[in-house]
Amino acid sequence: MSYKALYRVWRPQELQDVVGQEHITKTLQNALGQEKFSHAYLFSGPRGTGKTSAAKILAKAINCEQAPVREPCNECDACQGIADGSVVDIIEIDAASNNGVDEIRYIRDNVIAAPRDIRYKVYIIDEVHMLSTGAFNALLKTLEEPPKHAVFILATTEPHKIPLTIVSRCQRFDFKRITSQDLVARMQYILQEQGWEAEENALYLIARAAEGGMRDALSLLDQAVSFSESIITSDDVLAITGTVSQQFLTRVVRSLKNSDTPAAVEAADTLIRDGKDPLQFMEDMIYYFRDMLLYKTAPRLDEIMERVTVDESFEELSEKTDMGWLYEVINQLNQYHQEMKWASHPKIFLEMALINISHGADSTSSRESGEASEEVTLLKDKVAKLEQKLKSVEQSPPPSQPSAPAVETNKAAREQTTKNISAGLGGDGKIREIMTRATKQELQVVSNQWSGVMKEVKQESVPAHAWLSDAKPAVCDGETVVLAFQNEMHRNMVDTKFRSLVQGAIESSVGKSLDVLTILSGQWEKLKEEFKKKQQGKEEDSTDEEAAEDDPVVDEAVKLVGSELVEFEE
Amino acid sequence: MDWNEMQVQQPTVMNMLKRSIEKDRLAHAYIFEGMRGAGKKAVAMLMAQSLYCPYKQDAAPCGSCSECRRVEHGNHPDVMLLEPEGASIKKAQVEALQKELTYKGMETEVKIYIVNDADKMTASAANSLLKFLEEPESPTLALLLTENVHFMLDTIISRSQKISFAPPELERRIEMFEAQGSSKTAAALLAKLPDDVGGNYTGENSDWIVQGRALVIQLVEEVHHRPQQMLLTLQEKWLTHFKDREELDIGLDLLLFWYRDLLTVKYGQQNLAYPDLTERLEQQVILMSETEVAKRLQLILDAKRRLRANVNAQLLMEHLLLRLQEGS
Repeated sequence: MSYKALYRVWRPQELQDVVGQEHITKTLQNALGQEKFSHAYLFSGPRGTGKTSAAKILAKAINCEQAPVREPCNECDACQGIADGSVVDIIEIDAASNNGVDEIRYIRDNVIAAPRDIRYKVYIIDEVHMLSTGAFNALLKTLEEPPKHAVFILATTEPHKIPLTIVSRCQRFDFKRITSQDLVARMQYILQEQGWEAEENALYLIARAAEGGMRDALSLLDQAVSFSESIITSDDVLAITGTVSQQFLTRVVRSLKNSDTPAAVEAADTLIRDGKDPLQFMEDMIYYFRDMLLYKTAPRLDEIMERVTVDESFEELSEKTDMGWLYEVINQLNQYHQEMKWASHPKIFLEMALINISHGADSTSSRESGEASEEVTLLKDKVAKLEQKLKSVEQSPPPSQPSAPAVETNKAAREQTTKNISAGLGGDGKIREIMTRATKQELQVVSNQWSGVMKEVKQESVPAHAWLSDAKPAVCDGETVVLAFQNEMHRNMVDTKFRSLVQGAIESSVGKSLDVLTILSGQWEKLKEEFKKKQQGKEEDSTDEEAAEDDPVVDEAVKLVGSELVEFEE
Repeated sequence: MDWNEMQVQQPTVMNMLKRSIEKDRLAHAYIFEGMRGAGKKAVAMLMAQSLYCPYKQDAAPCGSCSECRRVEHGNHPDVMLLEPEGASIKKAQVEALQKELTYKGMETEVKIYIVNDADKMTASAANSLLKFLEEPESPTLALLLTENVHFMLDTIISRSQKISFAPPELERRIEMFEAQGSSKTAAALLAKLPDDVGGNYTGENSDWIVQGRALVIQLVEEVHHRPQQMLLTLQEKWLTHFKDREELDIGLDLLLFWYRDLLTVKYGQQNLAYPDLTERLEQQVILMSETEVAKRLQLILDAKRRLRANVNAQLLMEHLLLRLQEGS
């Protein structure tokens, strides 16, 4: 395999190539230039920020034949010998594999011997956090007062695991995460040198996914080059990193915001199907919300955005969102993110989290915006409805029968209602009338709250709950809800004895007062069929008569049963 | 499993690897990450074959030459497989591997090592791997397979190219189980279980799953309608059927799928785990709001987590059932 990974090919050879660590490179360069370098260094920082690279460069620079220099020349025998590993005086130790006291003793015994080819013996101890306590302590004395010709460089990702006695004997340098801009600049340089091309946006996506690690970024770039056809596009990068596009995130966030749970769960489904990582997705969401929060507090600070590029839909969405909700959601997401690592069914866990959040959104947004306004809108609604009713009453003479249609415009209903019915039991006619007005959304509202209604009823009276238990809301038009019962006796009991109780329960859980009608489910099925047929007949009629007009009957049918069940036949 | 078959199952992954092989840009370390049953090991084997096979077409190995067959049977001297010994991959194993890799390949230039369940490496094992994962002394190809990439060290992930496998498609799995002789209802359940579990209960063993399924249905019914009986059923039937920890875990999965189905019904989606019981699901779903279903899902997931932490099975189940019943 002649091919070498990009991050190995492009390992920096000079201090000035170590990107994003100016505070360190400058100090080291000055120390080298003035020959004031220390005998022990500790390099710490997250993965892929240049610790080992810096250690290797340092080893070259102090041994360079032209020393004192600020940068290694990379041309003299010493530099080249160190680079190809032929100089035995540069000892690179993998502390994770050699972590015992014995290995350290070996170092201690050997350090006394003078170097063979070059001026300084350099011990580079990588992953030094894995040394055992005994090994650390064995190293202490040597580290404090090594022979003149020895330099120790310790490198680690986990400095907190190093004993303080070691830390205090070294000059410590903390490497920072590399910023996106620096990563992109470096990648662009490499692409240019290699003669490849990439979309700029794709590079930013890589930089984000790399999270401040140059090696991560170059690994991803490597992968992207292998994967892409000619130019590296954003889609290539998304496929590789397992992240989702911002559009997708925006869509999910919007459905969460609108409490549109089915859409959110649907999105989770597509996500898993595409082989994206649910945990990564959750993290992306957290960053999305975090960026939104940031954008709301400081809209002009574009450059500290982590994941999001501000576009129209983001602006629009963040305008509609309030801070309280954001805090809440980020909190929740964080918690789920923690737990998710241990979940054995990540998909189901993700769905559960989305449902909880979208419902949380519901309750908190109403809490945040103040219940008063909520109530006001409800009341306004009511008033408007009452006004409408009043108008229709004024226009038409008062109906002689309680079941007669109240609304003039509703032709279908008037034709159908002929039977006289008692006020309590839902007569076919009255129910038909409701059916023409009913919408699927209204039914959804009641169905969603039905468990709440049942609970309420149970609190009031246990027998009522029992009688009601086989009932199910069948249709609702916003004023009246029809309950379908399996059993005649249940229906009668509820109808006669517990009517007001049920109504009260519905009012308190659904949030508006609804009339209750009851029907047997057998009868209901019949009515539904009949209604569907009639609608289809109507539709034919009306298309014959008034072909140009929009058909209200079809609209009703669609509203009632949903467009997926209505077939149009000309 | 041959290359073209995998190409259909995991198009993205295979394309990525194919292009890397064709462009001669194969990295020295890959992480294959994905659900159990996604075909990670099969792809790892194919990669090894593709590297050694003298008769390969494009990137696809022939599968019949001696090289391919030896890789397939685990007899190739230059392909090393590292698997957890007991619960984890120990440092000694990694050291042995490291030593092995300092030698030149027996027959080939490139040595391949496959680490199965790479997330199960102990901290010191993983750290020992770091240095020679980054700069191997001789040409090697490392394939780290894992179901849970988040348990791996950041430093390992950043040294390798991560390739995510899509989960196996449900419809295909259902068909597969039906072809193996499971009934339609059992197949729907088996397909949702992880591959190694589902695979154990096909054919003659599928009775066990069918019985378990009946138990779940009974138990759910009792939780919601006859709570006074549920603890008896638990004692008499459930605990005798789902005997040990693994079985109980499957039982909890079955229970989980029931509540997941409630959601599915609510949203009018497809792919139920209990496709023949739509009516009963519909009856139940009307009594529960979304949040309540979600709450119950969480309870079951919690129970699954506790199960792994060595708790008493009976107490766990009783606790779960009571919580499910009161719904909070």
